[in-house]
Amino acid sequence: MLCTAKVVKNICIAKDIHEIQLLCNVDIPKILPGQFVHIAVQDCFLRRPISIATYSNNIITILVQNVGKGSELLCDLLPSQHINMLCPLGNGFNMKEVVDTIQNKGRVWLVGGGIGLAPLFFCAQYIKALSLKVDVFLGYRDDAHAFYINEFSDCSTVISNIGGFVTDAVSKSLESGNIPDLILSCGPSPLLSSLKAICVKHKIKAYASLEARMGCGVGACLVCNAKIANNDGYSYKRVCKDGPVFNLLEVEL
Amino acid sequence: MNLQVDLCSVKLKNPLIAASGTFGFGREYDELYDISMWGAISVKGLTLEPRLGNPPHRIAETASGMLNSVGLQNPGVDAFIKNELPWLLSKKIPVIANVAGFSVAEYVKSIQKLSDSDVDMVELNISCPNVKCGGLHFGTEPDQVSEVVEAVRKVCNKPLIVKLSPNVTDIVEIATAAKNAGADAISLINTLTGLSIDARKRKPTLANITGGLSGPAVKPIALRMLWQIASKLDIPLVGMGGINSGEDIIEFILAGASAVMIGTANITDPLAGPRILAELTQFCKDDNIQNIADIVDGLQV
Repeated sequence: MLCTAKVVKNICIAKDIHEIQLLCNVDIPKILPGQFVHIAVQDCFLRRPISIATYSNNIITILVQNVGKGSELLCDLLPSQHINMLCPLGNGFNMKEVVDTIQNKGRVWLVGGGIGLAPLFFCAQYIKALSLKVDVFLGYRDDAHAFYINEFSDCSTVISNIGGFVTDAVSKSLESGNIPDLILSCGPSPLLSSLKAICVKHKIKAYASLEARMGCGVGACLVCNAKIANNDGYSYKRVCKDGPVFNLLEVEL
Repeated sequence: MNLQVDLCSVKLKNPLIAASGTFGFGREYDELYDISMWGAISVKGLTLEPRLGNPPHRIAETASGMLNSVGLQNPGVDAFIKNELPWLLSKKIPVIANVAGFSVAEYVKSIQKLSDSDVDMVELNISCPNVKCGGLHFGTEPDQVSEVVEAVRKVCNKPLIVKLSPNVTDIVEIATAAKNAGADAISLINTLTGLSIDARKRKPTLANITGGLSGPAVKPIALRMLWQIASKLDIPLVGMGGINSGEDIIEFILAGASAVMIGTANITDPLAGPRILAELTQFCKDDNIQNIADIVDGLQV
């Protein structure tokens, strides 16, 4: 749905990363971790797709990393300004599968890097609300870019990796005999590539939330394609509609 | 106030047609609003065989527009007729099958299949490379336009719209070739070829290097070409290129269009269809236009 939202908060929580709270003018029935919003930005032709970091009482929280013209303008938004956005979009993580896994004594790991941690934070909040537990592996480039460490430790077992590769921490855990039943991930391509190789090797089921340059955001224009393996080789799926969450083992990175 | 228009004997309840490429087969936008409000829909370009399309990136933002290089990803004509057409026809709006091809033979085979189907019209996308001619686009050479339109005309029992590429020196010459070869109507413009560069990576943004420019940036060119053709040829015209308001539609109709196609606007505003229809209705009320069809080609020069 299309809604107008009022900026109620915008703070810088790390180098080039802002936490922005948006109060929607309509009730949004259901939002799943892994879904995103498509925000119209002043002076930019195309909307910008941003993962939802959390949602409660009609307030959607997004984390925006300043990487270019559109994201810079989003980071400059002032409280009481209004924005137009489509939300919620995308398939989201399969939280039923996640909850079933944990309730059946299985272990779920959230593995993410940088701004990719935003949708994983929503996952962590969702699981915490059900009084369940996950393990979280947080990767950051350096101290300056680290954020939400306290917020994550609030709800789960945390291994944070500052500098270096968070997938090294994942490998280490696996080698010491801790094997999860399911991994949810989001982050830069090198992280997802490494993680995919690890999951293939250890036969671990995994999902990843991908990002792509988008057009319509609703699945009609076909510009946000991701290469996904299938029985005939591969096809292109729409990150905005068939994703952004895909089976990591099928994603051709 | 009457917004009804007639396009090759097909009645459209209003002049707004959803442009090919931006609207899929209608299902996604129908989740946001009832797409039956459109005068007609031109579906995603179909090819004889299914196509995977280009690798990412397929889109680049430009000033007042965008470049796209999707690569005609589509399920193929057969899958369209079987899986998409029945649902579209249930929406009770005219369906225009947009067809692309890489050889005359391919175009002919696709049109033969669509002639046997229940689509209302066919729109020929000739902005495609002719593999037999070293990849030169069909739509850039009058002789090639004639060849493909004549061949398709023989097997096409539906109204035939030919969609022109603007990447040419003389659009009137191209339009004349299409008309003489048997086109029932002409739609224009398709996208303008453009390049986007990522300065930091020192590479083109798009995987296919160049892409097609669309959006408000192209409107002046679209209007100019439409007007040039309307001034010289007597054939129904469908105008498109950067339309984003009711007033834009009026401009295209004044320039000679019987109907218009709206594409990129859907990408920036998912509710563009209903919004622009409301704006057109209001404009006609304010300007005392009783029948939209009365002002076609009404530009005073």
